[in-house]
Amino acid sequence: MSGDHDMVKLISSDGHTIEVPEDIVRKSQTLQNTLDDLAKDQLENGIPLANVTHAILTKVVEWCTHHKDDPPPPEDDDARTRRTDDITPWDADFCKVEQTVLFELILAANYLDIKGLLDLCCKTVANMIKGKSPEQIRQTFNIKNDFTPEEEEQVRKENEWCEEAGSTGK
Amino acid sequence: MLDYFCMLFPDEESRAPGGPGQACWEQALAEARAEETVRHSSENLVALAAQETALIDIRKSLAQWEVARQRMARERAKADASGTAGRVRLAARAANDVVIVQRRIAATSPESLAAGLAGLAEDADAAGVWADVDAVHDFARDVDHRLAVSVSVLHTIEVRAAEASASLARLSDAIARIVRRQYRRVALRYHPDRFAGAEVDEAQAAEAAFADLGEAYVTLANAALRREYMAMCNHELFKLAHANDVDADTAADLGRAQVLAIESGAPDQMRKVEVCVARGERKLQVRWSTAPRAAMIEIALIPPTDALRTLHLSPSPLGGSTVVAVHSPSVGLHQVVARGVNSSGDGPWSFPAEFTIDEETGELTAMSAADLAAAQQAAAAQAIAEIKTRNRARRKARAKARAQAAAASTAEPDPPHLVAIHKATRTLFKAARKHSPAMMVRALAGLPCQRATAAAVNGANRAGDALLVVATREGDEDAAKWLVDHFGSCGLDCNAVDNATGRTPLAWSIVSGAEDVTDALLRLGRRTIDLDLPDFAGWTPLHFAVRAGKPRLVERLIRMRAPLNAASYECPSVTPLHVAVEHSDAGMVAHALAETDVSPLGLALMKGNDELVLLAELVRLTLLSDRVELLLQLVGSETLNASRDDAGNSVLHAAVALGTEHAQAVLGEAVGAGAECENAAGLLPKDITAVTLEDVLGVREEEAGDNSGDEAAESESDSEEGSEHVAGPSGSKDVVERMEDESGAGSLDLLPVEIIFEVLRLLEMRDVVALSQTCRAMRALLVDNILWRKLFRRAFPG
Repeated sequence: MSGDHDMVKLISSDGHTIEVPEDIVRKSQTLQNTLDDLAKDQLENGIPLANVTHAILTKVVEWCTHHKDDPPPPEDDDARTRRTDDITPWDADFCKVEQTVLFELILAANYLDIKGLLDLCCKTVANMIKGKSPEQIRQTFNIKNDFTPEEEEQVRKENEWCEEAGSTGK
Repeated sequence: MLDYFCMLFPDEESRAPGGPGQACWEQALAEARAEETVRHSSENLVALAAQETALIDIRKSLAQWEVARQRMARERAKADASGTAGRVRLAARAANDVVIVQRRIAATSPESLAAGLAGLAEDADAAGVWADVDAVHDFARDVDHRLAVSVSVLHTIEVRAAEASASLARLSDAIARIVRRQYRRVALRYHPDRFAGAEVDEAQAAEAAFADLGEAYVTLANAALRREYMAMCNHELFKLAHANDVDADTAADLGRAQVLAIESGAPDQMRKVEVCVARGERKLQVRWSTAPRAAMIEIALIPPTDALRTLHLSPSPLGGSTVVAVHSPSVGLHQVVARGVNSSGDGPWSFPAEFTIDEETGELTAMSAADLAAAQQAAAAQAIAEIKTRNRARRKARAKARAQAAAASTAEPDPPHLVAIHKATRTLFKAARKHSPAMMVRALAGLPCQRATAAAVNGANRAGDALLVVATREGDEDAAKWLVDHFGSCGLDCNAVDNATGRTPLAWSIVSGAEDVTDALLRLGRRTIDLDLPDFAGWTPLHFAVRAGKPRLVERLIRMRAPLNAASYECPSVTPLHVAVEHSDAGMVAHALAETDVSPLGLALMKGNDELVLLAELVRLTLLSDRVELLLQLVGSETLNASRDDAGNSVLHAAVALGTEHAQAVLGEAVGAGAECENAAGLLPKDITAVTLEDVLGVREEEAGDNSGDEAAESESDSEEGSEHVAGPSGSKDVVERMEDESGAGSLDLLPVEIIFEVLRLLEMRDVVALSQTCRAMRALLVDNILWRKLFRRAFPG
């Protein structure tokens, strides 16, 4: 099993252990730091990940495995484009999950510091928001409208302003 | 603001509130109103003057009658004394003179005096002479009284007309001055001479603007044209009326052509659209009203032609209309559909309105209103969503009938009659204010016929609200009940709506708690009372009844087939059931649940089919309001137990998971299959204990404090400390659990700020604004958060 690559044990929050090749684990900046900082024998028992459940960890590993040969994303923030339509079909399929899972993925990617996955998830969420009215966004994310009537009125005015701005821009 | 004003004031700033363009527009509106007043007043003046002349004539005739009667009495006395044939003949001739005067009086009397005349005629003697002199004197006093009223009304109207015409003249002058000045100013900017050496495009644009400006000036500077323009309140219609290729008759016909109603399914996109079909012309006039969010209206023909037209809404707050030319190669039946469009998307297509194009003449014929209604009924059966649209169609049909009735009554050539009705209405309002039923009876006593009485009862005050509406709104139970009891089944319009809110008398009576009135109204029956009629916000009487917390009334309304699934326009998911849960007790929800048999709950409550989300919401609301018995009823319902979410959780699971205080009580009381059903993880409801949940909640609150701060530092220290503490501070577990609790509600704002920022920088400005308008938390995060402002500035420089 081990061959060129050593296997690293990761322990999810619900106690499952999963063995992952080291090069895939190194996609995660957080885990890479951990690996570098710890001695070999300290890794024998595996790395516990208290914030990631087994299901999510499996998804993350699946993504990392598929993208293991990708070049590392550019570090510079400004170099990253604002495009959201450049998601590959595999990635799009990968993100076709329930919202809760998607959010868990985001949190896991953020915690594990996997830039590519975080970008992907953010783009997916952005695509869910794009071009929608507030009411549609509420429905998409099941957000409860908790404005008081006065606030609602103010929001409505802003909305008009926004639409005007939008329509004159056309 | 109509187009010509925009052409004349091309700068955005000048059209903004407070700008000169806006001021000019408002003055033009005021001018149009003043002109309307003057026109109305002059019409009324003519009518009143005619009435006054008639009354003066009667008064004179009555004086003649008195003289003639005294002569007749003398002759009769002499004839009785002498008994000769000659004397008797003279007496008969004198009596005949009296009768002639009487006939003249009867001929000149307006209808309002007919009752008095009939009374006099009954008391006539053998020769036909009115015998009861006191009655005649009463009649004369009545005439005097009417004359006095007429004179005072005449005076009032004259004063008002004089005021209106003075302000009209003042406004006209002011507007003409503004228009002239503004024209000169803008003309300088676009004058072709200035663009002699400019780019071709620029020159052409300026030339077009200059031409538009000239047109606008010609129309707006001319008082007559401007008033016509304002009265039409529609740019395209006006242009059509003044276009060279259309004769004036056709344009006039547009206004009178048959009205077809088409209504859109999306209340937030477009309230209603009407299509008129012009006679003899292949032109459709499309009218819309109150399209608060639609920026444009798209109109399409079926079978499809080139005429998919996008029409920009005129900014008039009242809606507007436009004319679409039909270039259809085919003949026969056509349909028109319309929808509202704005930047966030397209509304659904409306219910189609039909018209036919004649094979030989090419004329357009609109479908008759009856056929249209039938077609609507058929279509409504197909989709439950159409329940709401049908409501609106009904309201429109009624409004049309009312308008026709009003038109019919105004067409009657009997002005005094109208004045009497008007007066009676005024007195009724006054009587209602004074709480005097006797005065109300008196007010209506003088009216000649039932129709006039009905017209008086349905008459409106200055705000355009009928007495019944005002009485129910003000909580004047006596007046309202008196009206409903006496006129409910003979001409009273029980569905008249309040112009400000759109509420019916029934709705108002429920709101104001006038139970007797509600009872009286409901006793009139489903045919007279419209239970489906929502107010402008979409609330139906059932909503109000539920909110008022009256189970008996709710039951009665439901039995009368009040719509259970009517949703408000403002909050599309709030049906009476929602209101019931929020405001009221178990009984009502039970009623509503029991009666909503079409599809348990979900049907109208949510657009999607995620029943558990809804149920969890119901349960949450009940828990929040400490209504354990209601919760028990919900949990005990078979239907509710049958519905599960993806993880196999039943309502009971959700209830227990959500509950903190009452969960144990619920578990203890839960009966039947509800308590035994396992979720996907094999957990019974009782396994999900409130205790664990509370722990989780507590933990999250503690962690929330240090959530965003020193992440980098902590993760460094984590890695130094060793493998046991790889757990970072982002708290994903709690977040996820809370997401599951609330079925994803508000999950977006639970993400760490920096991630939300990552998402934001992928969005357009418009989307960010939309997002900030979804809920308080988002707004706080996006608008009020200083950190976010910093990030925002970095993401969108400038």
